[in-house]
Order: sequence, then structure tokens, then C-alpha cells
Amino acid sequence: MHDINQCARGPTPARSKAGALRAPLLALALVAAPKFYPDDPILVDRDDLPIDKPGMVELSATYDLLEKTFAPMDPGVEIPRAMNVNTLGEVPDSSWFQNRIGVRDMSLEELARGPSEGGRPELPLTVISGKASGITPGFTVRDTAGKIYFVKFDPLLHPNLSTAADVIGKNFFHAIGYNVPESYIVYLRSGDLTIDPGAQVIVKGAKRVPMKREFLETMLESSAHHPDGSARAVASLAVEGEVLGPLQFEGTRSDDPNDIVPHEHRRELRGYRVFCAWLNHDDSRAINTLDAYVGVPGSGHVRHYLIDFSSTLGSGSDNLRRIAPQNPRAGNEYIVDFEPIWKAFYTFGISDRVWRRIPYAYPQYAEAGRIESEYFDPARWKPEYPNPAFDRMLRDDAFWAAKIVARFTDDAVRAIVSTGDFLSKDAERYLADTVIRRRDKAVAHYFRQLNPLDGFKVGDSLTFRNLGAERGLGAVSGYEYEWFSFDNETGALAPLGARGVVLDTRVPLPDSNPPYLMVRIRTNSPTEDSWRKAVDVYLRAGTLVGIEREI
Amino acid sequence: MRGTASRTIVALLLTAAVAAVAQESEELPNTREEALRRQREEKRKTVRPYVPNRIEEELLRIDKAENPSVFDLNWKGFYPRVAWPSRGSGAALGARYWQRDFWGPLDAAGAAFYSLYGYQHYDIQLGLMPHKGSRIPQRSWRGDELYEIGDVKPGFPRFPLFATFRYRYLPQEDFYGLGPEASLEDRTTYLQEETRAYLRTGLQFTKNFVWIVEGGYQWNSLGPGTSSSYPTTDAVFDDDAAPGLASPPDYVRFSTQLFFDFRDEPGNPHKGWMLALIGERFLDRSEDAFSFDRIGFDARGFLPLGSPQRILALRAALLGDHAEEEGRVPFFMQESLGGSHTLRGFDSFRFRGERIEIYQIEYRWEPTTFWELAVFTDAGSAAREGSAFEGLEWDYGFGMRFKTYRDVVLRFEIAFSNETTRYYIRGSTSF
Repeated sequence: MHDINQCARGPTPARSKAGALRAPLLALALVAAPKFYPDDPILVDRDDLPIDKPGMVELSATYDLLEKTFAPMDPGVEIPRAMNVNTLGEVPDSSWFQNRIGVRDMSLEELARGPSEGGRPELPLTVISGKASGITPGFTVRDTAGKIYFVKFDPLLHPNLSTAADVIGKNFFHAIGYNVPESYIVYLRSGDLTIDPGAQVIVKGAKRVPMKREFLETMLESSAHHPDGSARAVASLAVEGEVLGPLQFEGTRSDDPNDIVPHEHRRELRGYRVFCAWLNHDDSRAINTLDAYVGVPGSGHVRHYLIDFSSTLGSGSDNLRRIAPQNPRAGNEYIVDFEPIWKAFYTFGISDRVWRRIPYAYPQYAEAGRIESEYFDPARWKPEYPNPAFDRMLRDDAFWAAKIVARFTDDAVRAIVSTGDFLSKDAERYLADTVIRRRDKAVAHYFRQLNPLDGFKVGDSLTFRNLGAERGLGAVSGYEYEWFSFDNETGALAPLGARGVVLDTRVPLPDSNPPYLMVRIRTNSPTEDSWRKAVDVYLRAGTLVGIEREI
Repeated sequence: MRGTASRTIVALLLTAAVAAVAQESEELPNTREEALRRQREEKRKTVRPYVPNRIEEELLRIDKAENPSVFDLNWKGFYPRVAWPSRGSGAALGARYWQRDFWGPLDAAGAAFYSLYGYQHYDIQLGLMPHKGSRIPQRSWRGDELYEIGDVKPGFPRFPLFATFRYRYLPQEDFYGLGPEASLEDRTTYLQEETRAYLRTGLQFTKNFVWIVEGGYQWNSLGPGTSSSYPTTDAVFDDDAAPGLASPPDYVRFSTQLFFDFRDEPGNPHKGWMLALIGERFLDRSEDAFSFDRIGFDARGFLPLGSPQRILALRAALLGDHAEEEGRVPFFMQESLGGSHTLRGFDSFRFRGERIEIYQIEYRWEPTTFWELAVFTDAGSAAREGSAFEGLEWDYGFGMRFKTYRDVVLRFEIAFSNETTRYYIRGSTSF
């Protein structure tokens, strides 16, 4: 466990694959630097400084799997606190993350709209390239407005499954704050598609051959069809800017000067684990991310995207890498998970996986795929293989994410799930109910890991909210507090009076008024021991300037 | 004088230090934004492109080929392979060729192998062949007819029709005698050259039911075995004890097979069953003294024991040859037991006879989908035509397999019997 003061002084830099600079925003922390700068807490990280266009990065999915599986993080290494948070412990807006539902109310219409900005493709579409094999065959099209979209279909046997998951997933992750491409469910007929004379298809062996009409017809015929006979697909708008390849969850981009925080120490990437667990996004690996160079060449910057949410919720792939209802292993066990493998080995197979016995509702709600909420445990959830950022998620990272998850009301969840455009209202209802129950589990788990005080406001007194108590997760018998004067240059603390106890979420201010005040608050709870952990709140001239949490 | 100099140096050093500290202090950022900007400016001085390492580059190349698989590594349709062309051949290095739509709708395949013990195998196939995607069709080069039945995978086209020309040079085939009395001490070797030309067709009625018909010519030639460790067959056995040894016949061969396959994944089954029925007619082209018929079945079942990671695999197969009146079945055409697919604790070709029975049980468990372990026991016997089966020979052992979802890629096994201990490394499933 990390001492809270360690956080205050800044964590120990960790290994960075790309050899990047390592100082956290909180503790840029040259020895003589103050703890708080005059502009703290920053709400925006200006990581959009003009840079030359970085090079294209191609990432081998196989190499990534092998590297992360067989050379995972050393469990003995001390994990530093997230390095890109502001002094309130929040993630500033940046090229990675834009605070949305976490900081403001979003209407149901806005949630359902997701990243869309009126960019639905205008038919007919001209097919400019295609992919005949792989887990998601599809093609690239240009609409009449000249916009480029990537089109993928549902497989014949699983109507609406992956297209719904893709759009719903994008809308959730957009509301959370990530950059995602615009996506639209479209219904296509053969007559809606023409072939560009130069169009090629990538076939097995990475060969490119001229595209024939037969390819499109086969693609449409082998896809799931809407009752009106059209083939349903998801069309994802090409992201703005020039594509630079995927980002990695470890190190920094060595050719991007703006990228100074090792990705495994970025809170929005650590906390991504909580969101992925909630929404069962087991395919949340590097290959499903994208960097793009946006702006005028020579003075643009890199923006970081999450892409491809077709393996989210109840949608996934089967053992032959075909789109199918989610594999029961997914979310419960890595592709190569040494502990259960070893157990099954030495017990002659008697030690079996518990997840094999999960009673999924599939195929009762076929469009929703294979997802459930009874067995779901946010702490045990696993992606396809270890993720360096996920593995470094600390309780305060998870708390940050869980606060955002908690902001999704039942109506918000239902509004987003409805964008899947399901044929079966029962499937839609089942999926929304499942997501809501998974939300409650995730929030309850992470709100119980530390003292869940938040929403601090300074007036005649210091008021706050206990997010855990508000959700009925534990009983509270009072709050202990202790005021200190704080020396911003040296970090020294001096007590201001005796420790006090209040019964409600209102702490009286001290009589003295030094430049910096700090109050340490602990929650007395007969049910939740972890709520005794300290929350240190810093005030400067009567204004909230810092929050630190014992984890 | 010396003291003055020392004081001067100390003073200068102090002044420099103070100046340095003062300069550093001046350079401290005043705002968080400034501090971050400086960090970025600092990194700007050292930017460099991302350079993947060699392994990553190679894996990326394979990834881009879509659905990477060891079965897809090829150069213009040529695939390097390690194979076992015949039981007892030892591992053979070679290449296969496979090209869909080689000539119009016709597919083409070919193979060439040379083994540790000098075994050679060459074949060419052309026609509408059963295949899935671009996977190589059935492994006709295996030389294990009984096993080969179970290897026909349901797939397109529904009407396979293809011609095969095959030549095999088998310089050290083992022969111990016929029937249950065959003694370990009588081990001999002989050379066999076999050339076959045949046409194969069939009908795939459903995904689970295939009917196959085959007809063609088979030339046979025998000679002294090349092994320096064992005598040649003709030095120990005469034509009575080893029918066909003196004048090996050539054959016109007709064969039909019915194949019911309800396994979930034929190359890596976890549940279901398969049944192959075979009927064959071998017509001696010289004296008709060696014409015979063959009938047999091969049944395999796969029972999950409460979980797909625990499988009980069962197999029973019977094969019987019937020669025409006063005729005989050549010893080298008779089916045998022993080796990696039948009695694994015995040498290849250990037991031969006109009648063969084999029973196998395996308990397989999968710590993970691509890694399987197994304990097994095999029992079987060989009998002469008209004789009843006598006591079963049996063995036991354990093994480990590495698999894809569809196939066993590598199989390691150790098998024990009252005669010997056998070790296997193979690229195929046991059954």
C-alpha cells in the first residue's frame, strides 16, 4: 500500500519502454518545486502543442499477445500513483480524454447520439477496398459526400449481434470521455453499392486482387439480414487526420513530444479497466486503438482513439475467430492464464473453470449475445491478455473510473442500449438490465475500496458527499477530521487544533487562515473498514486546490 | 600564500554553486502548464521513430496474411513439412504443394518426402478435392489406410473427383510373421516399392455423411530390406510363411467407404462420434492367386466427462480380408498393428494378419484449449483367416499434445508394453 505522503511528493518513476520523461503532472517535482502551482488544479493538459507528423506504427497483434502474456509486469514492482492527474486527482481534458458525463449532466439524446455529428453515410456507397477474410470481413466505402467509412456486417447466424455491440460500445465510451469514431447502423442492399474501378480485395496471404461484383454479393449474402431483406452493417467514419497506427498501453510514443506520461501510468488508461469490465470489452487491446495526426501538417498533434467495440457486451468471437456470442472464457480468463492451466494440469483436469457453469441467457436473447451479471465480478474480470495499464490500476484509479460509471443512470443506460436498434425489445431490455446490474456491482466494489468522499465545496464550512453511503453501501457513524497548516514550499504540516468528529458531511473551518490549509478526513463506519482511509483536502485562499486519497 | 589560494578556490566554487542554484531557481516553472510545456520541449530534442524488433516484424508479416496458421506458411503453394510417410519410416522432411483452382476449377496437390531411414514418398493429385478454405486435403501420403478413412473431412465440394498418382519407396518395412504367433525374435525387413494410380470420387450427402468410391491400379515390387540390424525377410521366411514374397502381385483395386461423422471438430474432437465402413476388392492382375476382399469398420466416440476439458476417447476397429478359394492375401497387403495409431507400446507392423481388431481408450484432459494431456491403453490382436482371435496384446502410456482448435499440431507419447517402450513425436492425433 502506498503512503499518502508518497503520493503527495510524487511517485517513483517506473520503467518506460520508450525511455520517456517520467514526472507526473502532480509532482513535476523537482526538489525545490512547490506542491501546488498557481494554476492548479489544471483542467486541461495542453498536449496539443504543434509537432511534426510522427511516423506510422504497425503493431503485431500476435507479438503483443505473446509479450504481454509471457513478459508481464513484475508483481514485486511498486506501482506509482497515476501521473497525469491534476491536484484534485481528476484527469484533465487532453488529446486522450475529454471529460463528459463525469463532470456534467448529459441529456438522453446526447448520450444516444454518441460521437455522431450528423455524419451518417449518404447512399449510394462506392466500395474502394475490401477484406475477404479475418475475424471481421468487410469493406471501405466512400459516400456521396466523399466521406470514408469502414463497413462490417453481422454474420448470418447472429443477426444484430456485433453491429449493435459496436455502436452501443462506442456510445458508452464516448460518454465516458474517450475519443471514438462515429458509427452508424446502416441497412444495405446490393443496389446501394457500386465498385470503384481501382478497388481491390485483400485475400488470404495478404494478396490484393481486383474487386469483383461477386465479392460484394457474397459479402451481402453471407451477412445477417433485416426482415426487409437488407443486410445490416455498422459503418464507422474514418477518424479525422492521418492515421498513425495503434497506441500501446506501455511507455510513450517515442516520436511524439507531447506524449510525456508513460501510458501505463495514465489514469484514463488504468481506469479503462473498470469501464471494460463493466461493459465486458475483453478485446480492449492495443490493436483496437488508433493514433491520428490532426491539424495542419507541421503544426498538428496526435489524438488518441479507441476503435472497434464489436467484441463488447455479449458479442465476441468463437474459437475459430468468427464473430459469435461472447466466448464464456472471455472476461473470466486470459487466453493464456497460467494459474487455471496449472491447476487443471496437475489435477488431471478435475479442477475445472467455474465460468463453464455460468447459466447464460443465450440464446433466449440472441441479439444480446452472451453476457450476464450474476457471476460478474469487477475485480476478477480479465481482458484477453494482460494489459500493462490495467495491471497498474490502483484503488484511486478505479475510484475515479467508478465515479464516472456511477453517473450513468438507469435511463442513461437504456438510452444508449437502445442505439443498438434491436429487433427484439426483450433482448434490448435484458441487455440494459444486465448492464445496469453490472454497473451497480462495479460501483459498489470500487466505492468500498477506499474512503469514497467526493464533491468537496468550501463555504462557511467544508461540505462533501459520501458516494458510498449515498448508494447504501455502508453505514456511517461520523467523520473524523483534523486541520493542518500546509507549507507549499517544504510540504511541512502543522496541526491546527485538536481532532474533531462530525456526524454529517460538514466540517467546520479552522479559526486561523494560513495560505494553505489541509484537512484529513476519515469516515467512521461500522461496516466498511476501508472508509477509515484518509482523504486529504487542500484549500488555498478558501478554494479547493488538492485532494489526495489513501489507498 | 598557499592558504590564500585555497580560500580563493573555495570562494570561487561557492560562488559558482550559488550562481548555479540561482540560475536553476530562475528556471523553475511558475505554473503547471509551463512545467509541462518544458517537459515536452525537452522530449522534442530526443524524438525518434518507433522501430519494432525483428521478431515483431516477422509476426506482423504473418498477422497481415490474415488468419495466420502454421498450415498457411507457404511459398507459391509449396509448404515445408515434416511427415511420417509410413510407419517405421522415421520423420521425413519434404514439401507439399497445394493450389486451389490450379486449372480452372481443378485443384492441384503434390508431395515429396525423404525420411531418416531412406523412405521416399511422392504423389500428385489433380481434380475437385475435398477441402475447407485452403487447407490441405486428406493426407493420402500417410500410408495408413485404416486411419486414413477417419481423416476425410466433410467439406466442399459435394462431389469430389480427383486423380492421384503415388509412388512410395519403403526400404525397411518390418515383418515378424503372420498371426498371433509372430515372434519378436523373427523380426526381418524387406523393401517395398508401391506405385498407385487411382481415381477417387464420392458424394457428400450432408455435413455428416459421405460416400466415397475409389478405383485404380497398384503395382508392387519387393526386395531385400536395407536394414543392417535385421535380416531380410526372404532369409527367414519362405513364400508359405510370407505369401507373395516370391512374386508380389499387382492389383486393380476398387474401394468404397461410408463415412458418418458427428464429431464436433474432426481433427480435434471433444464430443460426438464417427463410423467408417469400408469394403474393398483387390484383383490380382497376374495369376488371380492373390485376389481378395476386405471389409472393416472403424468406430470412434468422444465423451465429455462433465466438462469439455475432460474427454473420454474410445475407438474400436475391425478389419477382415478374405481371399478367394485357395488363394492367399499377400503379407505386405495385410493390415498390421503396432505404432503410433494402434498398439502404441509395440513396434510398427508388430502383428499382421488377415483379421485385425483394435480397441483404444484415452482419457484426455486439457489444461487449456491448445494443450492436451492423455493417459491411454490400447489392446488388439491379429489373426489368420479362418482363425479366431486369441488373447489381446495390450499396452498403456501417456502423452501430451499441442493443438489448434482444429488440429493436433504436435503429439508426444510414451507407451509401454511387455515387449518394449516406445516414444513418439507426431504431427497428428492418435485417433
